[in-house]
Amino acid sequence: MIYLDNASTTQMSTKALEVYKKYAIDDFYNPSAIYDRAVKISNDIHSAKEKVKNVLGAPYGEVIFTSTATEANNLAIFGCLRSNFKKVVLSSAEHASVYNVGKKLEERGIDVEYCPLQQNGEIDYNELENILDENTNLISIIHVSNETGAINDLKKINEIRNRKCKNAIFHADGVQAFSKVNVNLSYFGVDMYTISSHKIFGPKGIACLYVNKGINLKPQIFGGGQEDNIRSGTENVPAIMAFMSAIDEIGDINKNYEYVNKLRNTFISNLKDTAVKINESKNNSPYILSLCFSGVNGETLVHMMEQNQIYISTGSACSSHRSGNRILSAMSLPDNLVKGCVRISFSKHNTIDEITFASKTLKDCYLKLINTLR
Amino acid sequence: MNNVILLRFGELYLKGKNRGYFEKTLISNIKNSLKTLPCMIEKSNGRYFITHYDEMQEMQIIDKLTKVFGLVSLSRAAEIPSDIDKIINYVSILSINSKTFRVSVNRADKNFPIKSNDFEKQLGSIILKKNKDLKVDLKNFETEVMVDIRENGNTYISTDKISCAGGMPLSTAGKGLLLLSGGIDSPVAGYMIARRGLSLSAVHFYSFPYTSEQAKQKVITLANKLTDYVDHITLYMCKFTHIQEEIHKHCSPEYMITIMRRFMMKIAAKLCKQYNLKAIITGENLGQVASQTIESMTVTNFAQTEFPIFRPLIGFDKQDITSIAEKIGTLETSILPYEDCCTVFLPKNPIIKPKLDKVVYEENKLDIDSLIDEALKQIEILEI
Repeated sequence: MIYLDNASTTQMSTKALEVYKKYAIDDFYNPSAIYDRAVKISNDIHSAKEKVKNVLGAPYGEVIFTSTATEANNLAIFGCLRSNFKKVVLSSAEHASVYNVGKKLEERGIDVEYCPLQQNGEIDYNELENILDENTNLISIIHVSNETGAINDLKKINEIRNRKCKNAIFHADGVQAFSKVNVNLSYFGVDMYTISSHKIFGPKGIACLYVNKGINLKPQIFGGGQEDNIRSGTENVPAIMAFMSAIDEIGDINKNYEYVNKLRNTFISNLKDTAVKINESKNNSPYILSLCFSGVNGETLVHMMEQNQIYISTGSACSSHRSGNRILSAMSLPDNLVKGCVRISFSKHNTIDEITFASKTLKDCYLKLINTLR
Repeated sequence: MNNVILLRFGELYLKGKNRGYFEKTLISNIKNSLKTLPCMIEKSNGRYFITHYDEMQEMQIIDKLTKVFGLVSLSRAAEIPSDIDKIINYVSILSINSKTFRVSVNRADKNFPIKSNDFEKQLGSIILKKNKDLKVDLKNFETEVMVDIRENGNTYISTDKISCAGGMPLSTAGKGLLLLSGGIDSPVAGYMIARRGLSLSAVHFYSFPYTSEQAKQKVITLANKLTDYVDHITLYMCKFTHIQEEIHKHCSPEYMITIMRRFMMKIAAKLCKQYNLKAIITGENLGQVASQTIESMTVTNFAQTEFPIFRPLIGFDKQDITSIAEKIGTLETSILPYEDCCTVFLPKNPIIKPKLDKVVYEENKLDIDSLIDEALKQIEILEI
């Protein structure tokens, strides 16, 4: 089996699983309880938050654990929403968990604008400059596109924000960026940032939102006042601690980046002489490869690969049940190419042999398919 | 006082000498549908009742019963001894949540001392005294208080009449093979024909890798939903990919769908023969799409002539079909957006009025028998 759908989810690491078991069985206490064993767990969660802040390069804010990145994105936007909000700016590349929140805000009468994309998948910074104005209260822009891997320049976006609407809050969905590209929130100037555990070999059911000092979020879930009263509910301690274990296992981001880039380049070079369009920017995450094959249905290619026990996807899992692809269309790709798109997403654990075999198989499948359909 | 559920049968009463068989089958189907819910079925002077059940499970029992073909309606009733005072006592504490009502008394026990009409009036006036806002309306009543005085010494009083699925008891008409696509129509067709007493097996044609595993799962879910009504379905999953590829490769593109449909019929007929099924059932509906013209259906019919093809939805509007799909709970699954095999290799201009000789000419470019054999060999059988 060759798994190349790592942007969708990853296999939990053995170490993370060990930690999970430890906190599910041995150290299972409720961190809100007042006896010594529970207090220790509470301290562990506190340390976990410090770890996240350090790794994000943002020591001054707060970390709020949530069940999923979708919840964290919802919390970021709905949590800072105020009745006097006039305008919210998102991008056309947002994941459904931000994009559909935007649609909800529109229903509430808020002016929501979607920054268009360049053909390379990055946001159009000139357009952003035009869209942002003094009425803008919130900006939420994805750091690395889950469809194409295009990396948005958060520092540049922050500079535009500071010029056009310095009081607007700036949130970024960093789910596909964290652990894969360098993240330093203080350097970027981002106020809120979402990361997820199951994309980095941690367990599912845990994610978090970093919130900078000075941003007051309104809770969206009420109850016992956990997570500084922002997100009530007994903490998912085993998942939080296993998430931390996955963070410990990230290793050298630059070294991983170089290695995965080599995998990606190998994949691309094995597709030469094939009618394929690569959707990428100069500044693209090597972990994601978006390919559009002409004259075929991407879904058929996915299933043909599946017959060879190679697992890829037609697009982000959260959008693959719908027809078409909103983000690729926003990159001005024609419908016939959008239909033929597949997404390969690598991990540092893939080997060159796997990539060579997978890319050659994909080429064979495409040629076989186009030949059958002719 | 005991709570019972009173059952009413439908057309079974028209069955003359065969009635015993139909009744016996229906009772057996009812027992089968309630097998996980402890209760008894009792017969008393030609009436059937569900008795001795846990009141907490009453709604579950009713839900199951409304899906048993052959039952037209049921009522929750109180069983009390046929004693005037006891009946009056019970009726006087009835709470009726409507504006109009009527009382109807059925005096099967002719020894009961008050005549039906007189007793109706008496009971009606008692109810009126207790419920000041209530009015009697003999024709357009919202609630009917039904008082059934039986010969067994008991009286059954009910205020609701719940509609059931109607039709004929399942399996009294034999067993047929449903072509189950995953769309809205075919599960409804299965339901409609099962309602006439036909048990079902089903065949699904899929085209992996052109269609997905999810599309297959969708069909399994649909078959599962149908088992609410038909108890059990044997589902034959037939891989159709090679046949479609061969048609695409060798035949004129506009005949793609026509030839595909004929292959499906031929395979269905083989399955009918092998598994002793008596008819083929499809969700076709006149004029809905290109393969559903009279000409197309005629050509499809000639693909095999051994088994009748039933098309229970032939004269239905799409809206009618959708309403039934909603009622039987298959709609939400049917509208999931997975491709089915009919959308693969879809020609731009499918032929609307195919001619048999031309179709046969196109078809003969293929090795029909070996393609069918290959498909039959790969069939996966699922018991649902």
